[in-house]
Amino acid sequence: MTKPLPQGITLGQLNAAVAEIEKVVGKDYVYLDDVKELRSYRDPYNTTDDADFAPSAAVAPQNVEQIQKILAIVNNYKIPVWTISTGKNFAYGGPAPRKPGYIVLDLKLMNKILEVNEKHGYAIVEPGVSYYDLYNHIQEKGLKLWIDCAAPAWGGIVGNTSEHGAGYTPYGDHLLMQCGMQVVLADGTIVETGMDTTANSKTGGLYKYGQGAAIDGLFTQSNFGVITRMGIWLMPEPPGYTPFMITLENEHDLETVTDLSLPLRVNQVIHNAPMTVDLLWESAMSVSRSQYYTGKGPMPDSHRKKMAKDLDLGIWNYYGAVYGPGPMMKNNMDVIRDTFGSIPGAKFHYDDTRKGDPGWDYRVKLMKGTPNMTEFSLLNWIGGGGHINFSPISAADGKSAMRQYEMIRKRSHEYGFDYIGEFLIGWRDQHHIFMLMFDRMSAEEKKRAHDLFAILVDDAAALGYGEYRTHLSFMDQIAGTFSWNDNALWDTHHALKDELDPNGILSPGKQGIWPKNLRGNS
Amino acid sequence: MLSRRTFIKSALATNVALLATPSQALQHVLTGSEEIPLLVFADEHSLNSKHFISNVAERKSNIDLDIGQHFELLREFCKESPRGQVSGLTRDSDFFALEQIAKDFGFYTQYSATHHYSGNTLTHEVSSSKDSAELITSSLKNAKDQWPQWLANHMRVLPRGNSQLVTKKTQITLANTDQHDFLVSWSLSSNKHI
Repeated sequence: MTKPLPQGITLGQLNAAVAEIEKVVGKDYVYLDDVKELRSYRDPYNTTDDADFAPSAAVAPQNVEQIQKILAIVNNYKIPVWTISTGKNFAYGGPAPRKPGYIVLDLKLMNKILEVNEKHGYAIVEPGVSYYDLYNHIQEKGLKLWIDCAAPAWGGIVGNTSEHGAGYTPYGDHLLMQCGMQVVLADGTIVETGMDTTANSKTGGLYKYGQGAAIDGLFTQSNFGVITRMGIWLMPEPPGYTPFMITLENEHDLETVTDLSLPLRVNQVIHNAPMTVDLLWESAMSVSRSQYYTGKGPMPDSHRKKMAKDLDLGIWNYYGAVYGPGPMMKNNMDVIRDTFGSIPGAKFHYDDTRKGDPGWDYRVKLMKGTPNMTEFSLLNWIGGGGHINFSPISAADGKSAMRQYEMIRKRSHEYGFDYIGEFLIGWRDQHHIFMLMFDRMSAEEKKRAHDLFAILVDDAAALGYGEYRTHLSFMDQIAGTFSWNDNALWDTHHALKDELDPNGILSPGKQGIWPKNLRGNS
Repeated sequence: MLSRRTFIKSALATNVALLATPSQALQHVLTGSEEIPLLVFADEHSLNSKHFISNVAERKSNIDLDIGQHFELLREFCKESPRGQVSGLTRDSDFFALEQIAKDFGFYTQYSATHHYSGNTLTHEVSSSKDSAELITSSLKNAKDQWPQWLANHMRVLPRGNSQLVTKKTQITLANTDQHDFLVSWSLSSNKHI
């Protein structure tokens, strides 16, 4: 295979840079062989040509000093690096870089848990620390703290938070819970944010903002620096926890349940981010599509209804939880039961009757921050499945939710795919996740999925919706939908990029932010 | 002594029939291969997978719905046995997750095959080295509904090392089956230590 090269870089320049990098980190931590080593840095769910996102090399530094030296080398050669923490951001590109030939800067070896403070409820971690790692550490130490993890919990805390990921406990807005970070800029300068920028700081994990502009957000979903350390708040273990599920019989119940949820959520009657999950997502935890339907195209309603009946699921399945002392939980649950009990056909489910059901069990774990990988069962829905997630933001409003759902369902059926999705109420918004599931062995199906995704971006934009996160293939297209006032936001991003990273070495193209030398070609 | 390449060829060719007596040469190589540490995973929810694991003598692990509970076992094995082999017959999602974890230790897929039941048809699609794909595919086909046992008996002869993968597919018709399994058999090993 021909070595993929970054735009404008010769093989000689790449080899020279790699030789210098090897002197910094050692040959064992520089990966060059496409078959033996670099397959780790591909996106197994890519819907286009594998070569579109093939790196030329990868390097795994072990500390900040090595990162500084690597950045000095690639600045000299003007070779782009693509930063990853654990690289498990599948459905959005995984560890693969935005363009061929980039060197992946893999922070997996920087995996220290630097501090866990039980009294004040926070942890300071390096980028290679996964949710499993932090959870296991807390369990081993016997600390009365919960983490809030992503649904597949092998992901990294720094990576997920900086990608604006969400979880399922009351601490589910990960960036909201982030407190302080250390960043290495393109020129090697180390910057601390928040309180840790004071000498002998004692409050870095406690107060987010420090003095002056709060710039932490600039380093999320961006390419202005390399995050090398992050503080994250952890929830004190509550005295009690009551998860519940409500099954709903009809498609249009999405509208009602969403409208009823908002006041309960913003007033903290429901403490975590409630989720409204469609039938197929739930069913995929325990059965496969072919057990109910072997035909082509989306599963017909008659088969869906049979599956719902067999599995005692709703067309929509609403999950939430309350936390705290028993009397407080009882009061909240009384309000919740009164509110949702008004929906005809609504049925409440609890641990006593539902335990053992794979869909229930993994949600119960997620809502108490117990890491697991059960959600990956979705891959088995069609067998050999791959997926990319279309993730528009909706208002936490019934009509908006229905509008998005109907738009996506209609389009996905038009393109021959099932609608598999969920809505997660953050505070006043909903993250709508449409899991576009395809046969990853089928080139035709991948192409169809890709085309559907591109149409959905435009359809959503036409209705006034934008996406909160996306796959490598669609970063530019989606950036183009955030174009108010003649692209003023992206012009601002680009001005920052040019100032902070004049050689354009850090993750060019991340989320549609390109350095000036590559802007004309993106 | 046979080379690994010759070994794979002769092992597969000699064992197309499940109960064939191994040749003296094959027996010699099999004895050598037993020195390679092997860790085997199987999905406890599938009958085929249960059938498979019941025929495996080596270190093994039945996996349930949360593959995350097995990450530490895999990590420890990869660290302790850099020359080892990790194999399994699992759901696709479990293979995917284990494959990603193993990559962190330089273990890559040298063989994988999907086994898909649809109606009365069983399809095997094998992805393996050029010199073994055809032989494995025909062996699976000839094993008929005993293919999990064939796999269990031949985990140690699946390809290791560094090679480009090719894909071969075969279909067989089975009477009286109402299965919907979509399983993946697979084998991971580290190129650096072969």
